[in-house]
Amino acid sequence: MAEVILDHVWKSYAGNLWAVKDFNLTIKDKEFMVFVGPSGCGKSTTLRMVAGLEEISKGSISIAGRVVNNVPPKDRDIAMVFQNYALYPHMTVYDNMAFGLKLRKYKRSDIESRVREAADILGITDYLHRKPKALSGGQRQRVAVGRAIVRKPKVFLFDEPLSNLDAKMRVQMRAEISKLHVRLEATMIYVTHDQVEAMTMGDRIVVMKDGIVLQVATPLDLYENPANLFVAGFIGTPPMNLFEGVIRRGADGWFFDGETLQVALLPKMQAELGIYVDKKVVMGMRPEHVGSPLAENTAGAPKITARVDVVEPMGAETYLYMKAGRHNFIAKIDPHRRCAMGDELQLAIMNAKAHFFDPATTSLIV
Amino acid sequence: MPIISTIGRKHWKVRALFAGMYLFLVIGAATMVYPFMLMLAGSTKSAVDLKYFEAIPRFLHDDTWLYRKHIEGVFNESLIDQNMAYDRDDTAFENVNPPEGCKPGLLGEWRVFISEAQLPSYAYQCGYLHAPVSRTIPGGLRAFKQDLMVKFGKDIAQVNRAMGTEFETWNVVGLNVQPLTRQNKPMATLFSKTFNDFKARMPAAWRYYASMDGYYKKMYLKPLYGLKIEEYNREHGTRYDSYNDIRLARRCTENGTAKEREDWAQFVRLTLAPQWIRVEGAALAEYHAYLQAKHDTIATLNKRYGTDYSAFQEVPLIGEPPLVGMALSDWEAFIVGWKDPDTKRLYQAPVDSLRIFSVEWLFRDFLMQKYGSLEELNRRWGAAYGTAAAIGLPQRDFHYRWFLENRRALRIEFVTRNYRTVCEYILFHGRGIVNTVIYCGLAVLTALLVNPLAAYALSRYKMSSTYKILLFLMATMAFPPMVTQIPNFLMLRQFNLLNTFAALILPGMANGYAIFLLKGFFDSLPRELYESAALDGASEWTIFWQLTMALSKPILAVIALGAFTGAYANFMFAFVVCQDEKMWTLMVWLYQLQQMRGQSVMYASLIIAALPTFVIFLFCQNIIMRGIVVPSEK
Repeated sequence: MAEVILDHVWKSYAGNLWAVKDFNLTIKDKEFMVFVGPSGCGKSTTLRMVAGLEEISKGSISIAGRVVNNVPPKDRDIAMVFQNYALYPHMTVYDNMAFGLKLRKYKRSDIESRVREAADILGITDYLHRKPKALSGGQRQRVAVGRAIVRKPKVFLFDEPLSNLDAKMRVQMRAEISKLHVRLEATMIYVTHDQVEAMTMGDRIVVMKDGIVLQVATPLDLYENPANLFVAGFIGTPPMNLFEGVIRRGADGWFFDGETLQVALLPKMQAELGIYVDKKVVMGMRPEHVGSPLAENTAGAPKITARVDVVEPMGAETYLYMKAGRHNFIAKIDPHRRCAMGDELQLAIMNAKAHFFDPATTSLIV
Repeated sequence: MPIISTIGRKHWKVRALFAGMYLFLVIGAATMVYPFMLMLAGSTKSAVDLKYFEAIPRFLHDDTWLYRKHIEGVFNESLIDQNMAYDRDDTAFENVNPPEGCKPGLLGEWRVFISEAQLPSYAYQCGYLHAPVSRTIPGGLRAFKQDLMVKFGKDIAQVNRAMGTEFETWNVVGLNVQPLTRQNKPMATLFSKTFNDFKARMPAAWRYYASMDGYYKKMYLKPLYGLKIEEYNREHGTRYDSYNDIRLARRCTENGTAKEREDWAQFVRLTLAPQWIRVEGAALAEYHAYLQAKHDTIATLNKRYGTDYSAFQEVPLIGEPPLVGMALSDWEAFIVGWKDPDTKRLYQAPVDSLRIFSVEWLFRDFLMQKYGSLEELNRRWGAAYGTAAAIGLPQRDFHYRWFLENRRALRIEFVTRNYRTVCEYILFHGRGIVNTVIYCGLAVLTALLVNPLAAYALSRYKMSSTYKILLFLMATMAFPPMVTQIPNFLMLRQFNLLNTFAALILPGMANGYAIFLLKGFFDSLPRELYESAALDGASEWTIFWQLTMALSKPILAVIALGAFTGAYANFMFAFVVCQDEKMWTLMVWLYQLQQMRGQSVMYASLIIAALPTFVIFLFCQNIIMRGIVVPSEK
């Protein structure tokens, strides 16, 4: 059982500058937990506190039921993969992977079999005698991962391990790490600033900003029910369209009034939005819910009119950058639908999928 | 916009730029190489070519200069010896020229003569024994030392014990070679006997035989009558064409004019050493009278001479004078003339009984005996000697013949002899090399231990005082070593560490610059490496050795090299704190060498001293060229 529990963890540098504020999280055994957020949000710091590379200012961290606040990193039974791989440049791949085992006084035969096994899993058996300098970025990353897995730790920590790879390699390694997680059945904490990585890899995702945890949820939950404006804008590519406007009670029912753009509201939302009538709100709408075949085919979906600014055909879909008065938004439409820059288009909008946020607190209303 | 862009290289302006840059590089290279060539050339010089600064020493390509060097060596850098032996009036070795055409003439006879005649050892001197101007160790002296070592072993004390000499080290073993005059008598010590044995084994063409003709003219006639023969003729009423026609007659009566006879008698009695004079039987009565006047009774004489004659009449004339003793001084006085203080009577060997006993006359006798007559000799060799006395010693041709056959060996000898002088000097000074090796080794070791440890601490642990410490280290760099020398010396004296390796090493163990350099280098190592090692379970010591030090090899090499060259070249401080000869390093020894040897030896010593550093640079160039590059993993 390698449950990692962070209990009211705070981290401060130089007095009052809090890098992590009141971090509470229970990472279940064998869970793949992803910390995501923009740079400087405290996600790496939190990870390093778990690793024991940073001191915990307040609160406690426990791994497998043991509070590790004062346990040195080597005794925490964890392994870490760094963004720049941190391979020992003067050692061969084999020695890099065996280094930790040697220091822990494993038997030579034991080391050999463990390194071989790890190399096998990662497909780096052919490079064991090489120095890191002679490897490509992807291979180095595999060695770094291999160095972590030979020790068979309870918890794996990944600190942006794929940031130095090119896009294609990143996608490949992403899948491999996911597979590795399944295979090793270990608890993993993965830090990234790339929300695609977070979405594709994590069992659960922690979204952080300015040292504060904004939301902890499964990827889909995060996507469909962002807890606040930041999460809504951060998760998803392209990001969620946000429209500023006012809730109005009209003759035909309630509607969102964005002056140059009006959207009727579903009756079921009225309860939560009741107190916001005639007040400013922010409406969030995913691009795939505007003008997409799904939206166009939804009965009773209201239509909005906007002008095409930019057309981005992606093959499977086409993104349109639209302009409706002061609102700019993105629509994901059927690639077969012909349109050109400057066209005035009528797009269906799936008001059932709309999210409303309080602009003052930024948190979700409904 | 780069000065040299990758495109448009064919344009004439770019080409001109390239040409200009290469020109500068070539000039730069030349200014580096030329002084080095001068050093190399300088290390092959002897007195005669010392003042010529050339990249390629002239004796390598010019036989005349090689000849001059050779002659200078053969005559032990004494021009007067050359002039006497050759009967010439050269003003400097620089002006000496080889004989024009080498006549076979009497060379063969001369060779036979000197090997068969069994001349006494004082009849000749050996060359390459003494270099009072070049102040190096010439080949002959080197061979002599070698000889002594074979005989007595490498311990100079053995030599001193065996021969009663007082040489402190092998380096002061030398031979004071001087022309044989009345003041410089042949010696009877064991050392001179050993030397004479050695001399006899040296190449015959390195010997120069004492020429009485030359001696007479050079030391007597010319100082008296000037170099012009007209002067001489006027004074003597003779008609010589040149000084070449004048010979030292065997007997007084053989001289042409009265004035000449007077000169002869004066010279023989007062200037010539008694070895070169024989007194014939006619003087016997006078000799006996002289001895009686001087010693009174035969018993006194016996006591003084250590003999047992029963009467003065039994005492024979002396043939070859003894080397020491009263008999010698009496004999000398007899030739010069001795005035009895009581009777005022002058006792003196009669002038007609005096006969020159010289190499020349022995040679002439040898020839006459062989050929029977002068006519036969002239016919045999196509010569035109008017008298037997006209036959001179063919030494100059003999030397020249040998020179022609050994030019290559001579060149090699001149190129290498100063280096051999230095090498022998170093080898015979027991602990110079050992001390230097130990000192350099320890200096490198401590530099590689102390500096990285300090730098590691400064780099890894961000102490609040790091900046101040670095500032302090910077400050230590501001003071030149000369400033700290005396305080260091005083401190070491307080600790009673003078004349120990600790005195050499302790003051330079921590080096502000090295710490500075290393700290910067350690700072540039990725932090993640340390963290990764910490996670892997490495102790601080493991991280330091297996990670930090292993990754810093190039810069450590630079620091080790610095420590080595620092220690190796350290002369002044090493000399100040280790004044005991046992603790002297190579540099101190070389400094001593430069005090007692000449400029060209100094050049050679500098080049030899530069060799170890050069070799190390040669072997470490890879690691140095890799240089101060951070091992990057990106």
